[in-house]
Formats: sequence, structure tokens, C-alpha cells
Amino acid sequence: LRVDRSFLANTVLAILVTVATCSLWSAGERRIDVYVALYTLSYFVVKAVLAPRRKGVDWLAIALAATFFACVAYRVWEVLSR
Amino acid sequence: MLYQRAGVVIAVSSSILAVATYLLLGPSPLLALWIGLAVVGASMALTPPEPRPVNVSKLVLDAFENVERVLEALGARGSAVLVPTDSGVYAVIGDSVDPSRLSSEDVRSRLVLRAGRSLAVSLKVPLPEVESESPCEALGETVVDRLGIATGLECVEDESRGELSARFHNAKAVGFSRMSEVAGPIHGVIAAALLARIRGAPARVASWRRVGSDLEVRAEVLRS
Repeated sequence: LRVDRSFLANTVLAILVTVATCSLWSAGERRIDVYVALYTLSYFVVKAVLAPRRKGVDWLAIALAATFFACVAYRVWEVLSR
Repeated sequence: MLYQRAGVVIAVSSSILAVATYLLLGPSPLLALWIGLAVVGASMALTPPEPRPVNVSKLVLDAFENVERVLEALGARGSAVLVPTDSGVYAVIGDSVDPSRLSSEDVRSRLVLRAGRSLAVSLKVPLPEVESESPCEALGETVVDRLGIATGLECVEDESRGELSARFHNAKAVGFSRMSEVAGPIHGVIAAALLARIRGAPARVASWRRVGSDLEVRAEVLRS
């Protein structure tokens, strides 16, 4: 059975996102940026390991990275402004 | 395209639900769930349609068979140099071909051409289009994903020396004896042709050997 690695990557990403959501939800985590950070991490791990093909520019990677850095910047600013 | 449309539907509906959840409940794990689904949907939508490896494989292998027939009919001997041109990569086959003396126009337009002191045969290498700009990635996409003539690939490119070393796992034996004699196995020809195309310089199959069911190939750029 041959499975295209791009489709495999999407399946693995869906599993990782589900596991991350269930784990954090059951741990009582309510901060959205923690969830987004884990989704971003999952996406880049899948991208690095399975190298899925993309139509043109990978806008999702750019959007996730930008959101992740915005969340980190917000947390840093929060700590500094205390 | 159904897969990509399903991705768009999942991404859009999850985004709408995320906004509605945020407005009604504020930040909550349910909102995170919708964001996660939107990420998966967007990833599906960005995946290009699956290439049809069986059809492409058949077309390319048939084209290689024709190359083999021409080589056999001409009794071609010597070695092959893969020359990149504007319209594709050509295999110039003859005794001691000097790539620096070849005219791109002759390579493109003539079947038999003068290469140094002897005559050479110029044949276009049938290659499927690949987007990658890395020879190793392009080789994996061509040989493993599209043609299916190997189940896996280990590939290293030494860009400074202009060399590419590849090991094809379970390399399918494709019986083109004359082509193997003058240019190397089909896997090697494709590796050298991709190296020539991406690096924009003539290349050749430097060496190859069978290791059980695997095939090891070394291709190199010919610097003038």
C-alpha cells in the first residue's frame, strides 16, 4: 500500500492536534496561546519529518509562526510590564 | 480536488465556529478545538492533488524504452554526458564527449552531432516536471513518488564538489542494457539529468553498483 506522504502528513497532524487538545483540555488548560503553540510545534515537526508537498507558498506555516511569535511577544510584554 | 475542497470546508466552518465560540464563551478549550480543526483543514486545502504515479511512470518508462531502441539501432558506444538546455536535458552519447565544445543549439536540434573528433548521438531525457530546487528532493519526488521504481532514497549532495550520492532502496531493475552500458541505469540517468538541470551544468553518472536489492549511484557535475 503506497500512501502519499502529503496525505500521511495531514493525518499525522490531525492526530497530533487531537492529542494536544485532549491532553491540555483534561489538564484544565484555558490559555489559548498554549494550544496554539502546541499546534504550531506539531505542524513544524510534521513539516520537517514528512516534508508534505504544498501548492505554492506555505501560508499556513507563515500564519502559525506569526501567531506563535505574537503570543510569545505578548507574554514577554506581560511579564515586563508587571 | 475533493480532498482539497473538504479542507477548505473544514477550515472555513471551523473558523466561523471559533469566532462564534469566542463571542459567546470567550477564550475556552472549545475555541482551541476549532482553531486546531482550522489548522488541519488549511493543511488539507494547501495539499496539491495527488500525482498519478502509475500513468506518469508508464509514459516515462515507455519513452526510455524508445531511447534504448534508438541507442541499440545506432549501436551507440562510449559514455553519456547530460547537457541542460532551455528545452530540457539531453544525453549526448559518444566517445570522449567534451561538453565545453558542444553547442546548445546542436544538442537541441540534431540527433547526430560532432563532439570533438568523433560523432555523438543527442537524445532528450524524458523527465517529469518537478518543482523542487534541490537535486536530492527532486530525485526522491521523481524516482520514488512519481515513477515508483524505488521504494526509498538516501541522498547526499556535496554542492562544493558538484557531486550527488544516492542509494535507491529496492531499486526496480529496468532492463535497458544498451542505456546501462553507455549512461548507467535509469535511476542514475535521472539523478544526473536532475543534477544537470538544477545546477545548470553538464553532468554524468560517475559510478554505480548494485548492493543486494539496492542501487548506489554517484553523479557529478562536469566543470569545464
